[in-house]
Amino acid sequence: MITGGVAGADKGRETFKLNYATGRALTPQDEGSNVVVLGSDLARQFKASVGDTVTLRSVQFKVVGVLEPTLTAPDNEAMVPMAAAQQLYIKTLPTLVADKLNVSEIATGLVVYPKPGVDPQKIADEINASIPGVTPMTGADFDKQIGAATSMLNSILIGIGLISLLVGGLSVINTMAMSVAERTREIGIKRAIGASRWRIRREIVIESAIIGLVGGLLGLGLGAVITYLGNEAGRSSATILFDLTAGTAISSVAFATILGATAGFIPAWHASRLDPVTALRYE
Amino acid sequence: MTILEGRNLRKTYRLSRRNTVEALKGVEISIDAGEMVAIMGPSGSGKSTLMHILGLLHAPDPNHGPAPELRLAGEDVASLSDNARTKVRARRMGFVFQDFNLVPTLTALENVLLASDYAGIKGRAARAAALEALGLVGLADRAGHKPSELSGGEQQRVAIARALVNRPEIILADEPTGNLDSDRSAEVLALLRQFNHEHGQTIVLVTHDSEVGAACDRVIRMRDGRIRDYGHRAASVMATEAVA
Repeated sequence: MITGGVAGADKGRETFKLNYATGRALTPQDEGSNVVVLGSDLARQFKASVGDTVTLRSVQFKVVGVLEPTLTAPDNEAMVPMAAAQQLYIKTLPTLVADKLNVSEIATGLVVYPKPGVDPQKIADEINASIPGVTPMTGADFDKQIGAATSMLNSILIGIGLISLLVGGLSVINTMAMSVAERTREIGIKRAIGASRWRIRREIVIESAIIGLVGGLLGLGLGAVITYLGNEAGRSSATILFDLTAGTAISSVAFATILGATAGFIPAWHASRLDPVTALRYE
Repeated sequence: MTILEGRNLRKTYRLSRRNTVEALKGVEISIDAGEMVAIMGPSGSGKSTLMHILGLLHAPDPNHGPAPELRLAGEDVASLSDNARTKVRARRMGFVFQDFNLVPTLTALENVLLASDYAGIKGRAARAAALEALGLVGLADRAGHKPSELSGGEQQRVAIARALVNRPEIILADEPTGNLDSDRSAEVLALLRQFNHEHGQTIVLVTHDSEVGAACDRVIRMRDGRIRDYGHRAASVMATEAVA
């Protein structure tokens, strides 16, 4: 993406700071010349560094700066002076339209910086009302757009997670039920020599809670590895999708443990209701 | 002093909707403290059922006859809830089974400690008592072994140690020598007699083995869900009354 702007026109209001790996930023003196600052991904793509010449839309530009990776839009941008961008842009329009326009007055967008303390939504509403053919987007609107995309991703991940938990929980119930069945005699002995029903239940629930805990820790470990690998694989295209926070780690292990304990409850209940005499004789 | 006495003890088991078994048809029994009593009888005579009721594993049936009575050291235990019966079993009774019935994943010491734990005794006191019990059965040096590493005779001795560790008022043993060869049986029997003679431990055994019966103070004989012979020296009187 080629972006053109007059350097310094924001009067310092832009809060997204760009860092330069090599070279320099565009200056107002660059207006009129064909120079470019490349984002990190583009620079890599063109295999260009400061001083090289790159061709953008059949026009030659001299690279004067390369940005540090930002993991977002600028990595794929080529920043040129406003006039150069206008020239490139008009070439993309059909001749009939282009002939009617004044090159130096073309803009595809305007960035409006509200004065400190002014509500951006108010400005957006005024623009909407008074300037035809222009759609303002506030930061909030942008969040919503991006948010829609990420919340879809989140929903899918949560859905997959819930299904996994359900399967895992049923798995624990099954395992514990089998474990109880195999230890019917043992349970009979314990009851006969004086273990209370509650005691038997407690033993089994604790066991299944530990199964949940160990499973949760193993899952967390695996998940952490996958998160790391996934992020590393996506880093080059600025797609860092996964974030493993301490909160996620702790709550997922806690959840697995609780799920294990809960799943063990039904087999535990059944075990505690066994008649000791019958259980003792079980083969 | 009578340590355990029961009256009007009945038990019917329901095997299916139409199939019931009247295992115990009305039994009266009395065991004195310090006695070693054998209960003998053919299969189906109800001796195991009687043992289960005396051991509070099952409650006697309250219906189809006069109210059952069961007293341990004078206290009524006939109408206790399952939880209460469990507590009494844990603290005041010891059990030995035919199949040894040790927990296979625990060591000998841990198996004995189970009984202490269920009786609410923990920590160093429990450990000391458990080691002492194992010592009394001659297995103190095998305390760390699992049942799979012990012979049948040794496993049964661990079970006896487990039954003894809480110094229960009564030990109930269901065919304790049933799965042992004659040498091991003699060992186990000697051990039980030793506890009975030296420590005054009350022991009630169910057995098929007449040698075991002969080693006891008296033999109660059962048939068809009733006691036919109380085994007292003045047995003849009781026997005629029992055979109704």
